[in-house]
Amino acid sequence: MTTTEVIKLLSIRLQISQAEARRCLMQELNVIASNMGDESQVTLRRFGTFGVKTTAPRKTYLPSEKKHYMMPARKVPFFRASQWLKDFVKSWQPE
Amino acid sequence: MKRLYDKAMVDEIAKNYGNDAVFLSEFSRALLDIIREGLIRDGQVRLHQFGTFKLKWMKSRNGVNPSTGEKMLIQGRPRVIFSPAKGLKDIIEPNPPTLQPLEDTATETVTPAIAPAVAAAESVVEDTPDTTLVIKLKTEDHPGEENELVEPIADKEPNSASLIEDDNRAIADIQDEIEVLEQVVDILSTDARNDAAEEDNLEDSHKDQVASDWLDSPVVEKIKEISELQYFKSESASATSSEDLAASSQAQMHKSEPQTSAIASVDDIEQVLVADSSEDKLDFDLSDDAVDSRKKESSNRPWFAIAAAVVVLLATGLLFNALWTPSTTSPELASTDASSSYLYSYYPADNETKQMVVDENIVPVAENNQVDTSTTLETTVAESEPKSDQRLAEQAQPTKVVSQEEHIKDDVLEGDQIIVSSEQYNEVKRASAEQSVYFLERDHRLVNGDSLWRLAKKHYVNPFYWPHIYQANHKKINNPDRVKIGRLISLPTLYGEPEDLTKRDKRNIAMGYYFNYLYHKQKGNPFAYFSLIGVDKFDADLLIEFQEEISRSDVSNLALLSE
Repeated sequence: MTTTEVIKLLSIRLQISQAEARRCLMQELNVIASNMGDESQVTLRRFGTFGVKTTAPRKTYLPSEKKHYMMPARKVPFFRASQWLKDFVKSWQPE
Repeated sequence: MKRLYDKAMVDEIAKNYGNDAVFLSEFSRALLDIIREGLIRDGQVRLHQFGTFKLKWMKSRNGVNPSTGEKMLIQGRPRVIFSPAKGLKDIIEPNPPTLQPLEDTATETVTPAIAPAVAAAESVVEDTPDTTLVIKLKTEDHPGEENELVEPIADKEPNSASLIEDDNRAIADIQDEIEVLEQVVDILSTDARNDAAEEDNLEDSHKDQVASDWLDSPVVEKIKEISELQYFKSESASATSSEDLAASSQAQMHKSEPQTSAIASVDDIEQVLVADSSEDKLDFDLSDDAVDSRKKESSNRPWFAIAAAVVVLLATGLLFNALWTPSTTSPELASTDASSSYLYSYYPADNETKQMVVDENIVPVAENNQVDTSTTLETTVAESEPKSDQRLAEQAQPTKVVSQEEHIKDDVLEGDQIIVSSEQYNEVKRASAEQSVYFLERDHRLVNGDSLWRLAKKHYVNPFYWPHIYQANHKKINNPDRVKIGRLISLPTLYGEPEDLTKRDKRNIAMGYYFNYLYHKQKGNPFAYFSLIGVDKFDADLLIEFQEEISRSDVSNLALLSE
């Protein structure tokens, strides 16, 4: 499923135009993303939690250059599915 | 760390974008619903510039209960994975940090042989850059070359500065030359203008000669060179006066004349070439002239094309509707085949019409297998002739197109020998079994301007019978209000008269109305129950039959309407 399909379904379900559905979707995703940028978590009921975690700095080695490098700390986004979603998805099986 | 929940997030959206909070909460709920359903359906949901939710199957494995030490099988399960898109990553970390080389390792890599030398060099010269250090290291090995090596580096910087100065001087010299030459050009151009004013009465050819003489003169060539130089250096140089611009533009104008003439000559050659190629009739000429000529040819064509299309339509109509073909139509078909065969490719019936066309001279029975069927068919068809006449007479009433077909069929009936395939025989049999068939089943390819309403009006007289078509094709047709061009649908048979429908027809039409209701209900149309009126009118039993599918509010609305 892609964004266009999501927008189509939203417009059918909520009786709104596709343009409006797209706008609202962008607003919601923007707010989630900006909150993640501020390192705060967004928890949606029956879905999961969006957040950011910082990785610890670590040493790396590039075999091509035969040198050691320092990988500094980074911010990485994560999504943790809620228990409800895990149960909801249980019936799914790969083809 | 802040933690936002559903309501706080919705409030923030409402505050930031000035949207209705109640609607937004409904929206976010619907969005999450759709994402969940998409996960189950497709296994992944991709949101543009945000990320992808994916389901990954974790295999079953053997595990150990740490508290008891008991071995047990952990069964396979899906796991929700979110992989962030680049847009999201950029928001979270606009400037991602890069790898930093470790300083400790750099000293380790230096070999011990050079290390003391480096230390010595550092003690001598502390604040010099690395390049000088390297040189000094080398000089220890070859002291004789010290001066030679150091000198070029010292010369390099002043050299570049002197070069720039030289350039500036050169530019200044050239500008001086330009000024002098411009004065010359002004004088010459004024003379030329005066000459031109005097020579206005003379012939054009003489003017051209004067111009060519003027162009060949060495002064103009110099001006050209200078103008080019000026063009390239216009950015760096100071603002040029209006006179300079005028001079340069004049020079360019003069310069452009021979070029255009040359291009014209090249064009002529190309035209000649194109003429040659057009004689050879190459299929793919990309030159403009060839395309134009083709357009002209094609503009003459449409009358033939339309005529051919009409003939084709009639032929296909014959195939679907008629049960036999005449010998008289064969030459027409042959002619159209030769002229515009590409029109036929769209219609699959082309080859079949050719097969069906039979000349009177040819002996009809060619293969042994078909002997029995052909002989029996002749008799059956002969019996069914009068019935079909009646049907055609009835069919002629609604529209003019049908009357045309009838006209052709009258010609058809004059033929002596009639041969039909087994499928057509079945159709005839079925038609004869149903005594009063008003409209026989037929395929129809939707064209521009077609709608179910119009088709029903055309073929079934009453446009309110359009669900009769919809129920037969409801799997092909998504939206009954907007059918798609080019799709092949079947127009089902209407067994009774339009004014006096049989029970079967009524049930079919009621089913069509019911499908229409379901479609609008699925779309969330609040007035979907209007189509239930049709169900009630044509076959009220269906309302009871599909009691569970129809919502109660709609039934009550229907009752209110009927009152």
